[in-house]
Amino acid sequence: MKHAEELLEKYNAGLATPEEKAVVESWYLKYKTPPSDLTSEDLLYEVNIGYAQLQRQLAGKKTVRWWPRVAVAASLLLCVSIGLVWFKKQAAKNNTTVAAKISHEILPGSNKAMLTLSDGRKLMLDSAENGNLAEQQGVNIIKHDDGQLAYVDHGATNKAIAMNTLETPRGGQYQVQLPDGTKVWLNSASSIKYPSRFSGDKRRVELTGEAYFEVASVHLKGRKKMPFIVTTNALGNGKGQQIEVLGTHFNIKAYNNDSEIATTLLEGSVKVTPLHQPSKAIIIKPEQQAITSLHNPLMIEKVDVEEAVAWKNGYFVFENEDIQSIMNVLSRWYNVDISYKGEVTKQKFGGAFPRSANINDLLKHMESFGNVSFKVEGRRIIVMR
Amino acid sequence: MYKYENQSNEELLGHLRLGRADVMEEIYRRFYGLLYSHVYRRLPDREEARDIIQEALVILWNKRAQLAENTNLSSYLYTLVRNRVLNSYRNQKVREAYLASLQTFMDHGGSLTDEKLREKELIALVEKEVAALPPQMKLIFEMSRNLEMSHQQIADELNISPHTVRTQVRSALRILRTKLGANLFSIFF
Repeated sequence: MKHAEELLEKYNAGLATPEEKAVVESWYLKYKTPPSDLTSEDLLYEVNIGYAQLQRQLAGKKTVRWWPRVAVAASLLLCVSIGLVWFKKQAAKNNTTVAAKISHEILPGSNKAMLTLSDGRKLMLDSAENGNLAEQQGVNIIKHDDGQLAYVDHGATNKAIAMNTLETPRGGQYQVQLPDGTKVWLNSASSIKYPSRFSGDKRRVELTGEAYFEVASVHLKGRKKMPFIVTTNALGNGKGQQIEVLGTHFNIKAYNNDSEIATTLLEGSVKVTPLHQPSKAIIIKPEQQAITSLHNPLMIEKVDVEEAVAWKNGYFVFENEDIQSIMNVLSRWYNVDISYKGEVTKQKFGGAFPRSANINDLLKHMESFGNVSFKVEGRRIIVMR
Repeated sequence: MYKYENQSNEELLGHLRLGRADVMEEIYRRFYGLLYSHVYRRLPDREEARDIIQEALVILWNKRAQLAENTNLSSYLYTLVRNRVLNSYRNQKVREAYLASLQTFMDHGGSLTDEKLREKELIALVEKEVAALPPQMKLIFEMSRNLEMSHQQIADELNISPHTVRTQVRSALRILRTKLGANLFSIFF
């Protein structure tokens, strides 16, 4: 043992002879490594986290160790970040950021929702048993094994229509199949109101929050298609959007505390009517997004549709967003409150993260990328410079 | 799409010697994943592996003006990293195993090759390791290429409305979907 150690010490000190160097280096080449336990997730995490750390070092900042050798959980962070400053000589940040407390109690969202029937009965869906949940006016409400809610019409001719409301809390999400076969994915802090059976010549639902729709194509007598209409009132004062579709896939984002409503079309065609200026209605095409805001009844943009529906596929995707809109999203999914202290950065952030990510990893990531720091107190996140 | 994506290692070296900071982004993307994988096998300590490779990259940047024109970038980096691994032999995770193995090598007079050949063999070793990795791991090296927009693009973007499409920015998600397809959920869930 002594010889090998001496040799390595000499080598590391730069005092090895050429022959000695040859021995060490040849050994290195021949050394059979044991199997690596590095998983793809681990590697990807390292590739992403290493980037931020390296930047700080190259910019002359000391590496800040956030967690003292905490074992990295399998929660994966994939980050494409924009809004960074590579190698720019920055005024040294005058103090290190406050390391967020490891909060074991803040968990990512899960499938949680409450269904309110027309007779006022409330069913907590996550705790409800699978199978037949209830019956209304000849329509059975069934909870599938995967949690999905489905409406099965027994065809009983009954004039009465029962309105249902499916509501997700912060930290919740849910999927439901409406009586016509339309699939709806409901994001956190959202609610959708719909009848237990669609009748008449139009299908109507009301939405607050965010949902992704795959609208089933339904025909009336005489081969005419039955339109599916979604109304959102999120902007208040009768300001909102009405979306009319025939059979299509689209995403609507209409939260009460956002300043705009965005409808993104993936497939098919959709007519978007701003409620307060119906004359400005427009039919949008796939990959277009119709935005209604307080100042602008309707604006059309071409967008990356993957980004708009990433949430339904289990990801957050932010592209060039300010900290407030990101924090709004996190607040809804992680069920946390947000406060801002002092002047907060106007920097934009981008990235893609799985929705199952640990919030501390996310915050830590954002801290390393930008002029922002976070403090976590119980269920409140304080955003600072 | 990424400024130096299609440039050879020789060209990257050129930019490096000229002090073009943004080349470090490409160097990071091209090498970090495979270097990490290489180091971790030899030193299964996540933090240390990170430190080792980052030190190597920082040194590469700091010594850029002293790099000879004919420097082989791969070789230079792998050597920096190898030396750091050797310097970490005292890590209790590997100390016993290293010393025992080296001792055996010394006692049995393993074949020695000259410096030039060792340099080539080191490159070959790293590349062989990459080739032997499972496909998902290999994809990660490619995915690491999606880390950044160039400095200039960022500055430009900050003036654009948040909802305007930036066709230049490929979301990691899109790459994942096309590259990993059905395997997507097995990695993330």
